[in-house]
Amino acid sequence: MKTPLDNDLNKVYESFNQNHDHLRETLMASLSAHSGKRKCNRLINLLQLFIRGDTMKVRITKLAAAAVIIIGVFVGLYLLVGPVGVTTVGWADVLENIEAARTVMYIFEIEKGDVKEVFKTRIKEPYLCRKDVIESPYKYKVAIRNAKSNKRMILFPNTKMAVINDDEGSPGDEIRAYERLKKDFRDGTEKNLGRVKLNGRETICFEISKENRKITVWADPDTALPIQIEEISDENGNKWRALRSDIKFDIELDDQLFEPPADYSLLDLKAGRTQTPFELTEKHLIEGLAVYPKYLDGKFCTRYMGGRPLTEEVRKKCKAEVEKFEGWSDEEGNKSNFGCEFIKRLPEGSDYQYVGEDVELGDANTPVCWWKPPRSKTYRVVYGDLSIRDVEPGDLPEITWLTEQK
Amino acid sequence: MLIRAVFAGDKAAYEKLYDRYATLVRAVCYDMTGNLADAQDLTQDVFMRAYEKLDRLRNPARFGKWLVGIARLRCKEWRRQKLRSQTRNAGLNNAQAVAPDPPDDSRIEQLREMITTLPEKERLALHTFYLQGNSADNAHRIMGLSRSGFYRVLERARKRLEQLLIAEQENIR
Repeated sequence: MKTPLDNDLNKVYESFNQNHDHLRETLMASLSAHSGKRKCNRLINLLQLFIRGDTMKVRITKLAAAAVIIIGVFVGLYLLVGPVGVTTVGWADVLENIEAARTVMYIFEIEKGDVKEVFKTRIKEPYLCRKDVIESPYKYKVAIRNAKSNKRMILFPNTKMAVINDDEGSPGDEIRAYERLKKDFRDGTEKNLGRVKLNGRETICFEISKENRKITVWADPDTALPIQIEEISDENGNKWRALRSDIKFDIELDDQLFEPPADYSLLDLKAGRTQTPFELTEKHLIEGLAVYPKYLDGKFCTRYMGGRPLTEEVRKKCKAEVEKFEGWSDEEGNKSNFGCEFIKRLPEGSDYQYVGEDVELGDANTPVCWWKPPRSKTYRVVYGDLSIRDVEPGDLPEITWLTEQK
Repeated sequence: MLIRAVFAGDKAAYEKLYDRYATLVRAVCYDMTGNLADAQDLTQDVFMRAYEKLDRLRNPARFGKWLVGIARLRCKEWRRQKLRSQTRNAGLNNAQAVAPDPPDDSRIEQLREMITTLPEKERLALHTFYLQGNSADNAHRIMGLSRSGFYRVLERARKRLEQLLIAEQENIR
């Protein structure tokens, strides 16, 4: 169904059809002349063969004759078909394309020492960047940066978790690196290296030399769009190489690409809170508690959102435990987080207590933690076998340090 | 198919490509020149250049996108040449040379001018859609967008135009 605006727009675009047939005929006539130019090229080849022939044995005569013929051919060509096509792409064209682009996507390879990382990088100017890991020795899969809110977000697709932290502008910050690159491009130090083949493709190549860095840019000679950018740096022995390839400008990048997916949980490290797209229940607490005995010789941890007061001795014990958790998986980390978040969300007056220090997994008689649900007269008590029972307040077990504290 | 035919020396195939894309190239050039006569000249140059460099086109399916890239570059050259010539002829009255085409229908003319004020991407979405038979089939490929992405940009462009038209009417009142 066409709207009045559609009809008006169709009228606007009809005007671009004016004189179309005549213009087509003119173009096709010009192309015929272009074919003539190709024939002239063949003529040049024939003349070159003639110069190389046996009829001219004296070198100086050969050179003079060659010069006269070549000049003659070029003058003839110029008169016949106009200037012979030479490239007009300059650094200004390439730079203009880079500056004008509002979005850019490329494959980014960074090699530093023995470590190589490869990302699919997407930048939406002026402040959004997303890097999808293609190859990396590190655990994360997607890193998103919002330079406006100064937040960095790491996505873990296997656990559907997004970890958000303040962005301190780390050296790996690709927005900053790209901005620095553009600044280097503007400083007027580029050298045109002329036509260069890149993987069999015709390109025009430029080089920008900085004090400890060399930047090479390969661009399409027809559109002046960069195809590949290489940076090699050697600053005080800190060597690295960055390659941006398969560069695409002004592609559609939806804002959603720079947000966590709707079904992800968000862990805000600064606020110490986790937002989940689902309700947290006792099940999440049980799963969170169950992670620890695997790493602590079958015992629950010393503190879990509470526990024995933080004396120097307790602090040391907790630190030693944390070192044992090094090898835990993302899933286990998530479970622990969700358990903690369940406790954080308990309403005021829930009287949560953690008493699981050194309790063995499977011990059905020793409590690990308890809390009082809203409007309930009894407590929910989790035992070492991870069962949950309702217990009258007077029947709660006596814990020495807890009694002393009270 | 058409590109392969051109390679094989079939000029008629290039005529067909011209028929398919010349209006789009003219519209892209018009964005830069602001007058149809210069846009038509530039379009001829673009097609000449594309013909000469056709052997560099790696993916024939991307001919439209490639051609628009050449058009943009040619327009930039034109602008630089024009700036140089304006600098040289600073003392001359060259108003005649840059005079816009006489308006035919004021509303249509107004709309055409409004299109030139839109962001480049939205302009191109309008050009490709309305010059390719009000269809997104080829238009989204020329812009290198998914079909849904293309429709989003097109919708943004249309909304912006509508807002501009409303604002213009309010100004008149």
